[in-house]
Amino acid sequence: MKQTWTLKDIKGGFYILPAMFILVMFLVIPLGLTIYYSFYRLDYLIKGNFVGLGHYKMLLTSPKILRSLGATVLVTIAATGISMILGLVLALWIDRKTGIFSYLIELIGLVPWVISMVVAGLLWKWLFNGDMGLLNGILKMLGFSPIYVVQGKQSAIIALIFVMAWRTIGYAMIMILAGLKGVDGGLIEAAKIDGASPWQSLIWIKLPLIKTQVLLSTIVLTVSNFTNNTIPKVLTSGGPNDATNVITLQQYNMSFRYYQFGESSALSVLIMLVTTLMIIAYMKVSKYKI
Amino acid sequence: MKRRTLSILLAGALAAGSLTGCGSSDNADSSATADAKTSDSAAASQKTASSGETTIRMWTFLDPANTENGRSVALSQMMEEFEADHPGVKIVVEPQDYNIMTAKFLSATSTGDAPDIIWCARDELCGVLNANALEPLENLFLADWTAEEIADVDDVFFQFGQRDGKHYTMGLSKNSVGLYYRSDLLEAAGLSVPTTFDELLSTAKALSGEDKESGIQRYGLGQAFSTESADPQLIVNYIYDKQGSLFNEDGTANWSTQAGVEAMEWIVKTVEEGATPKEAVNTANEDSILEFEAGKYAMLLLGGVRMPNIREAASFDSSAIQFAILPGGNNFDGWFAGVWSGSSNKELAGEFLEKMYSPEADQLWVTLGGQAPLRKSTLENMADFFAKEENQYMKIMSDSFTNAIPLSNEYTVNGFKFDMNRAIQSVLTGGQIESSLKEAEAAFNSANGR
Amino acid sequence: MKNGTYLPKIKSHLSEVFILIIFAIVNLIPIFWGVITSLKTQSDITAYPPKIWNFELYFGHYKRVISSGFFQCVLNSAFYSVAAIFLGVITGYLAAYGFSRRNFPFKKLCFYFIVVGIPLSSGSSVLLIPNYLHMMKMGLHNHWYTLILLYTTYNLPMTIWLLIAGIRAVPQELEEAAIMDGCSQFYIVTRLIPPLIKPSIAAASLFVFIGSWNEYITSSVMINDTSLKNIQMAIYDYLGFFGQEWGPLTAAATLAIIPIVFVFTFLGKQLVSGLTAGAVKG
Repeated sequence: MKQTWTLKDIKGGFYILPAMFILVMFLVIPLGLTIYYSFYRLDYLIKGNFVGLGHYKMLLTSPKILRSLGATVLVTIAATGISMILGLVLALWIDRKTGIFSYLIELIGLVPWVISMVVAGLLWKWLFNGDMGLLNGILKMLGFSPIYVVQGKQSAIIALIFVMAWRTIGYAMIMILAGLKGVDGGLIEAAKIDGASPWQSLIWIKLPLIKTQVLLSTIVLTVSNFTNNTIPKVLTSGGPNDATNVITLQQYNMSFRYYQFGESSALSVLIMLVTTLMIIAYMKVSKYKI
Repeated sequence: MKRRTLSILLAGALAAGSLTGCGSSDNADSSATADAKTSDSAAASQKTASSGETTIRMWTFLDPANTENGRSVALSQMMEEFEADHPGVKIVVEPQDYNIMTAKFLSATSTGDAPDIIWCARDELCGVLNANALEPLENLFLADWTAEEIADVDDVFFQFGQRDGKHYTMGLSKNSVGLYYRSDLLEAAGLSVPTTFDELLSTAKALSGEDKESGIQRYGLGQAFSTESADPQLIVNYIYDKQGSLFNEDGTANWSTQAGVEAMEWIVKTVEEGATPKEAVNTANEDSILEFEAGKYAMLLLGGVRMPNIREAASFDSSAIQFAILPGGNNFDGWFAGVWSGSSNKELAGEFLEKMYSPEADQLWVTLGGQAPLRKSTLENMADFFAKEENQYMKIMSDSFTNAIPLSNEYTVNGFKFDMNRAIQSVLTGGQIESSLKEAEAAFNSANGR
Repeated sequence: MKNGTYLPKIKSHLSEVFILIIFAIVNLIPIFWGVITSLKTQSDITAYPPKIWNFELYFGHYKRVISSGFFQCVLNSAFYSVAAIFLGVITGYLAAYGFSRRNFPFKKLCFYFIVVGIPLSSGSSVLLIPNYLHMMKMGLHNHWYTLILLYTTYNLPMTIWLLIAGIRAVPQELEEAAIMDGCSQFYIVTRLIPPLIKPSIAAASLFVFIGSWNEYITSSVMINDTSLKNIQMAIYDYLGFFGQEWGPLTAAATLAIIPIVFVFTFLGKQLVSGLTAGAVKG
């Protein structure tokens, strides 16, 4: 069935033109260049042979890259999940508050999201330090032996998830809170009169109404955590033995340490694809309509 | 109905006014300053262009505006002198993040926006030479130098900047990865500075224990096996010492050898026998510096250029911190300044480069910047200066260059130190020595296209 | 009776305060550590055992940071962020309006295109070198507007999406009523809708602001001119080749938080209390 477009429809397209122009100029063209580079050898930006899909094949068969992707997905999902759940709980809690109390919680919650990420990562590393860190200082004072947090494979991953979640809980909380504030109080009242428990009104009334906020925050945090290479770089240096070598750190090192711009372009394209697929999956799960 | 809509609209308009009102006043302020500033600088650059002034741009990690750092002060003094000698010439330093400077430079060469003078790190120089991005110094000033003058600067850096009989750069901010030690602790234990790997291990073990003053658990030898550690670790020295080179003729890694296995066993021993803490497995240079300053290590593996900063920040008597050459020789490292081959002011850029290598400049680098001298003559001319206890490290760094662990610039060696650290991490977290070294070799070879 | 109602109340108050304290400690401990580090002398910073209170107050690091032109960088960052907010929110709002209220050819395609753009919002290092080459070819790098354009671009896809959510919450009938009252389309887009979606605008602004204020890698590649430096470049100065200079580093990071608290106090009010009376849903 062929759709017919009215003049108003066509004119409606004009609304998106300025945004589209910006995106094409500064996003699509570099993306196109990246895809183009990904087909060549480009060590030190010296254009070499055309390798076709060679880089992609190399990346997708490299155990190191696949392990790195796996670690990234694990860290992203864990950190985002923790942030969203705790953010939701906190938002529901302070939704009932007003005044200075709620302002304080919001501010405290947001500080980790706004502080310079590299400094935050370094400070956490310092706090986790075996001798110089506050954490182990307290443990020692209580008579325990120190924990070397970023030195063990598992504890490094946990530390990374912790710091990433720490960074994003406040953001999740504020975004969900903004959604909750938009929920009509009358609906909740009506449900209460109809005998709904607070739990029921949360599941059946509040959550569906803030679905979009939850979806958007989840997407923001997933993307932000997936592409975060600053915190892994300074907190765990991707180690030990690549345990926390997240994919964007790998990509960064390919470009700025090994100068393999062909391979790193291909990896960039793969990172874009994976993240986009994750977003589309969220959209499908939450039945988001365009 | 109409009334209701109107009132909503009115309320909305008011709210919009308050929302944007606040934001826009903020914006107006800052944009005004920024606009004024940019139009100023645009006007300024037009003016300089019309009055025939030449600008020489240089990318380095030094910020001449920084008055706290000796090297920056030295650089800005050289710039002033140069500008005074060359009316109409302006040296503009655009300070860069050293992590991305080379990638940026290589990009900029392709669009013609590269600076006239660039500083490259050691590991990157080969790639930059491959890209033909540097002008041979023979075309600029080196051809006029006498043999004596050349002999004065001829060292491992000078040779590293040479390819096909031409020199492209001579090395600045020379670094030597060696052994920091606390002479007071060594003296108290009646030990001398270790010169072999066995001595290093036994000395380190002897110096481990609780520090009486601060109560910190002290380890004899600080090592940092993180893949963010910029300084090569002792595995490099060990393999070089035993087999003469880290690489095969064709530039592939040659680590899973007898020497490599022994080196790894030695490193494992330092950890197992308590000379180096277990947490070294994922400690970065920067962490180990902080820990050394707190008193956690009696000796530390680190680049000599950090000495002034470490002495300033140490929590104990810092005059006891000294520097020595490691078993197997020190790794040389540092920066290689050159003139961009596409520059339109090569002559002048070359003159400034020459200025940075001049005997007078060398004195500034040494006295203000606390750096190893660029010239042998400086060592002789300032013998009294280098004899002082607090300046001895500069002479030792300089001495270490005469038998430093050599590297070829015929093939790229990107990331070899990180790949070797990864092998160490693998072994210390339970991996097999041989397979870990093999993996590291494969990673290195693939990252360098071999 | 009284006891029966008060006691649990006090108990629940106490537990709430307890949660608040835990939350505050976990959230603020690195900030606390950063702030006290910025107030210590060099040798106190590296002292063992770490000094938590028994150190001598020292303001030298702040002096050094301020005298190194830090406030110029703060102003630059403020300008970049605010300009990116304006450009991003205005173009994003128009696009969001188009997406939520109009049906035009290739709409779905355009929307998926925006979805693809989202991964770039915070992972700008992914396209960095190609983008640098592209900007250089157009001569757009190292100008006062360079970072504004890029920050707008990186944050635009998510801004559009956040604003779509806001516009959809506004009942279509309101627009229809306005048209019946003789309002022009121009009026609806510029005057009627924006005040009704203030929380979304605030959320989008906050998103763009943080994205611009905390961005480092793009600025360090695109900017050469010292007078165009932004705040993160100023902070990274203390992470340079000379190692981590903890004192000035933490002092700079502490100073960088202060403007954000102001912005949040303003935007946060819009964000959270903007829709209280249920004016829209009611």
